[in-house]
Amino acid sequence: MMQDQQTANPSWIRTGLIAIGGAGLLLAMFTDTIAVTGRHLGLPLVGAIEIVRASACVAACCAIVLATAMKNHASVHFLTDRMPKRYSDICARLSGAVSTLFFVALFVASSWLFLETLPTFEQTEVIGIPYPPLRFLASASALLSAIFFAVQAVRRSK
Amino acid sequence: MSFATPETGLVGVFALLLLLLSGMPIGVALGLVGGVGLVITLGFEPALIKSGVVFFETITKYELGTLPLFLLMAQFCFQANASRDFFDAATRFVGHRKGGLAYASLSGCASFGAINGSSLATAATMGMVAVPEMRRRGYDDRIATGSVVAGGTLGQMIPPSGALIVFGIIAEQSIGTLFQAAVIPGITQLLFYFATIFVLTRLRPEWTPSIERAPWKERLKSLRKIIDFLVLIFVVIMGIMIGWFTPTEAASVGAFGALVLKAIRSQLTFKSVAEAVEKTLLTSGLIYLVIIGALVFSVFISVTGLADAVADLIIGANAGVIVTVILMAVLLLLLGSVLDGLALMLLTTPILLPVTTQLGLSPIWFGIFIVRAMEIGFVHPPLGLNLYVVKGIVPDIPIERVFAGVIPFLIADFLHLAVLIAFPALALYLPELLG
Repeated sequence: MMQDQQTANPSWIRTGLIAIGGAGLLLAMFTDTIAVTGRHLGLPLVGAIEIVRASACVAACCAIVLATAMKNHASVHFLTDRMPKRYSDICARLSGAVSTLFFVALFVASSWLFLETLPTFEQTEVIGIPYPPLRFLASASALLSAIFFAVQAVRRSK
Repeated sequence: MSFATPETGLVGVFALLLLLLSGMPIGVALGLVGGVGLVITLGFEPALIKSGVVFFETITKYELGTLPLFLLMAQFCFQANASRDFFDAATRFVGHRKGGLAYASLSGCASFGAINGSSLATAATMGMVAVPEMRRRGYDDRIATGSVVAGGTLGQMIPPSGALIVFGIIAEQSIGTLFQAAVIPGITQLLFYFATIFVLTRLRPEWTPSIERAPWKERLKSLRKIIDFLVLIFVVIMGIMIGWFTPTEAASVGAFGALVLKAIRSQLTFKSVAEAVEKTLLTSGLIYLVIIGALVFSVFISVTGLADAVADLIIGANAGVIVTVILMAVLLLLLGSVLDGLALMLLTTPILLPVTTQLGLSPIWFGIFIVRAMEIGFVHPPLGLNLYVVKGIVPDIPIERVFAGVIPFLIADFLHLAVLIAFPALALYLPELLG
């Protein structure tokens, strides 16, 4: 499994993703820590699991986009490292194009579900965190990842 | 005409192997084969909806929150110099013994592995600390590199383990129970490595020259430097074992504890937290995509009935449980020669897990077994990734020397895997004891 972090993406994208994703991660950490402490002190934090799930969703969306933008996704290089450069370049371009299609499919799928569930006012059971913003974020992260893969595939072919 | 047949599943497995070998991101390859397979077997609309549901459910899964939070804990501990402090303490206590630094490096790997759930990260981190020190003290390159290459895999077995979290999500098994099950195999794996060093130092005494004994004052001083980390590890692992908190809560408490330790050591800065968060998000993004792809792929495999067909075939052959498990181990080791550990686990779990359950074996045991087989793939020449991680730290050592160094540990790995197969209680005793 190799990870390649060469990237030419603007630093504000990276900074923004780290800030939002980090906020989600740290919120999950503090919420669970307070919940555990509170539970053992007899002061349970109501809805802690729901807050952690929502925060983890924010962190996960940013993490997927960041890993894509920074070309950090795991891949097997056993064969491509041994190929002539011309063929390994073709493989890399194909891989970029197919990855774009995969994320476009995920974008379509998650947007479909987002639009289908929008009128139902979905929310969590205990503290009523609304689902639509989370579903929107999931769709946006799939779209952004598709864009990054497409840009990487186009850059490589130039 | 229905395409939901085992043959379609088999074509999917071969297509996946091809895509993986073409260098496509593992998560994309798994998701693509799974998604296209679902379109063929179920139709376009159900396939799209199922993929969308898997995507959203995965990123909002409470249990999966364990992974980024444990990664964050590891990053904070790494920034607080935990790896160096663990190695230093172990060196002070056992360094003067024959092969002492190799024991110390393995102990450091085990301790750091209890913070960090990754084989590669443990090998890289401990390698940077232990290998140069062993070489400076005149240790042979082979034992210096071999002990760290093998020791790195302890990070994958000793809880919290990233691989076990991923297995728990894919196989829908309790992560807490998997952590409990991994404790004894993790400890026995370490003991097998100690035995390897013991034998090596007797056969090749010139490989491990003696070093001076550290006075007790120095030993206690080094112990004081790691006592806070040890308490944190103890609280996190015991907390899960005895039910103080869930694995996700344990990860949060662990990350928070590590943040506090950083603050106590006057290392808490905005920049360092941002760096830790960035590294955590990068690794988490990689793993989230792999899990999303793997879940779509496993739905496809389940729809085709491939796993059931394989199970029927194996049970029909009446080969017996042990022979079947040995064959599975051979298959995993062969595939592990060309695929990396995560891809191997995600490709084979949907097919082999139903086989093991139909044979009456515990899925928890299977989780430990497959992670153990995965670990061997990490140290298996010529493709084991830990070999290249350590080689990257010491570029002047030829890779053949690193290969030679890991062979004795690889033998220990095979023996340990055999013991795990012969005595499933090794993994199942603790979960049964703790209920």
